[in-house]
Amino acid sequence: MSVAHWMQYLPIEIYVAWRYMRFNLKQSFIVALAVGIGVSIIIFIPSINLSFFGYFLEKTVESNAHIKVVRELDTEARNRQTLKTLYPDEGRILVSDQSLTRRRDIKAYKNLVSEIMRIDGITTAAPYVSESVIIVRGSQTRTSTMRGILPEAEKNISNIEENIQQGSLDTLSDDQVILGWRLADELGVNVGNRIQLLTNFGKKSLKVSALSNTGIYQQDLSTILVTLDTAQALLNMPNEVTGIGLKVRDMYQAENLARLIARTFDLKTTSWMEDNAVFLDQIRMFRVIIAFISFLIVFAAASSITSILIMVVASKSKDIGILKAMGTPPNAIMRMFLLQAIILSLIGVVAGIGGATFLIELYNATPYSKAETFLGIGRQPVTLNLEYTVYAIFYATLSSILASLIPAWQAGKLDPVEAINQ
Amino acid sequence: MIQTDTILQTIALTKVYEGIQPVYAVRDLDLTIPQGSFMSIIGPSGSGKSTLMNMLGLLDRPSSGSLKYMGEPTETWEEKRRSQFRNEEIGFIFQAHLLLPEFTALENVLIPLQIGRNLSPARIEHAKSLLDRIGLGDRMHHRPPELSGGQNQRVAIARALVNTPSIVFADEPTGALDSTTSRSVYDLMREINREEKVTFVIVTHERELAGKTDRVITLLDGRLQSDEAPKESPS
Ligand SMILES: Nc1ncnc2c1ncn2[C@@H]1O[C@H](COP(=O)(O)OP(=O)(O)OP(=O)(O)O)[C@@H](O)[C@H]1O
Ligand SMILES: [Mg+2]
Repeated sequence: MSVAHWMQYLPIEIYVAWRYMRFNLKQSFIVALAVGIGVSIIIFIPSINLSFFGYFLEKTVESNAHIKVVRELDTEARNRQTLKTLYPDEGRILVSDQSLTRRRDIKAYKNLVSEIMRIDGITTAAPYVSESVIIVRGSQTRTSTMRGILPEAEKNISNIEENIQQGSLDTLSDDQVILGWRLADELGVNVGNRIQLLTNFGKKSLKVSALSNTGIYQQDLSTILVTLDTAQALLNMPNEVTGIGLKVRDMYQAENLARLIARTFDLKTTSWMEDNAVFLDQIRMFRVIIAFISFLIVFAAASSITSILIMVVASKSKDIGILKAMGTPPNAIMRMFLLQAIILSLIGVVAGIGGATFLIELYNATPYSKAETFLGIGRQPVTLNLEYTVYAIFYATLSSILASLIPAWQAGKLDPVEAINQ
Repeated sequence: MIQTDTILQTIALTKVYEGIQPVYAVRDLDLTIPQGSFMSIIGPSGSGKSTLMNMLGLLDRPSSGSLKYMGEPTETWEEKRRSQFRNEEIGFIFQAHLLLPEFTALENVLIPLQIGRNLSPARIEHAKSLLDRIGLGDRMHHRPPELSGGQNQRVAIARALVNTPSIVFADEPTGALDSTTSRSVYDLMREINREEKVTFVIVTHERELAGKTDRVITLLDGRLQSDEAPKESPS
């Protein structure tokens, strides 16, 4: 005849817990299901949203400068301050209107760039000129923003190069221009055609050497890229730039470094974090909402575990009484029910991760929505969000242990005589 | 009388169920049970037999009075000690045969060994031989719902004996059995009492069965009414 099953050699609480779970398959299934559904929702929603946010961040932030040093228009307050330090005893000073609109471009930029590069945490710098121009092609005119860049430096700052089509950024010369493909389309020009750029200070005829396709609608309709020299010549500002794009080592240090630069060089700076403050707030808000939803889900799953286990304890009170009469200590009886909750919640967690993976695959398999195509940001395949998976595992296990505490405690303190006499 | 060691002694043991009218289920009971004795308790329904057994078996705590095992008062023992003592030294056969329905007959019998963590192939063989002796050798892999009432009662007896306890409390162990099976159960208990010096305290309604034990105690309204050795007692 058969030797005892190996499980019989385990502590009594594990052996009995396992047998109970197998014999009460319906209850076990409901508990595992409750945990599983909760876990898959807690993982699925952040996976979809945060991967969208992440992709959007990557697109808009990683592909741009982390910090921009920008020119500043003189303000009245600033002028008063300056005048006050210059003429401390004058009392009242009449500030003329003109100074308000005077441009303060970034002068001696080459020197400034090398000094900024000395700051720890700054990895790359790319000076640029950005100014409105009129673009002329035959009878067609458009207004847009021209950007003068140093191709070598700009490549390290943005993903500009990846988007160049039918030509290259490296070979951009002083009499060439790169246009956004939608803009070129509107103007009816192709690579090899010529266009004219007009500013307050002059005009220049340039040959279209390549097109740019970022996938972002508005950008493709406005991009005009020329060399820094060309832009400076067109604007009559040979030694000045309107801004310097910077990359930093730790992207979340951008804000601090931007402030440091502003203070040190008395310049105006903006970081990607400021520029995208609304967006970052949105992510923060989303995380709060998800935390709240998770709490509700966990709470619902936990109460179902509690009520089911209370039922199990009640229906098994006679058996608990017998086990106690035969010498099972109260703590072992408690562990017996804690164990059931833990094992079932682990099964639920595994099922939940499986469920979330399935939902994500399903999501990846559905076609793009119109809105996504219109935004032009496309879509990347969504993957399981690791942070929230860990979070879900942790909370599911913790909450099911907490949920089983009351029933387990009830079982542990059950009076065997009363239980047996029932 | 031959002097024997005392396994269990009670002094003024009392159990009161408080209420509008307090019920004295057991009242001022002095009892000394020698090691290896084979005794029975009789008395009308409600006279406190089960209550007494539960207290003697450390399942229930007395309202007052003292209960000593091998001369040691048990009142100060905490629950863990009581559990361990029940597991190692005490066997229970309850009035209603109480088995775990999810486990087979053999598994039910093995549970006390598992609780004490002393399961071994030899012990399993011992459990099987116990089941054989009470005529359930061929039914040991069936679960309680698949067995008759009498068969279940016999499984409960095997379970009470499997840990070779010092003392067994049997609350009407043969109540649900026909006279032939009843006699064989009695013979089994008697044999184990003789062979392994296991003390038996048996509650019964059957005068005939009580008459075959070495000592009969009669309870009435929770009090000891008589304590005598039957005339036709063997040995
Ligand atoms: N939990 C309880 N609360 C109140 N009274 C109780 C409780 N348990 C038992 N009693 C009372 O204690 C008395 C003794 O009960 P007990 O079960 O010991 O009797 P018994 O001799 O075993 O009877 P039977 O032969 O019917 O099994 C009875 O009057 C019973 O009503
Ligand atoms: Mg009774």
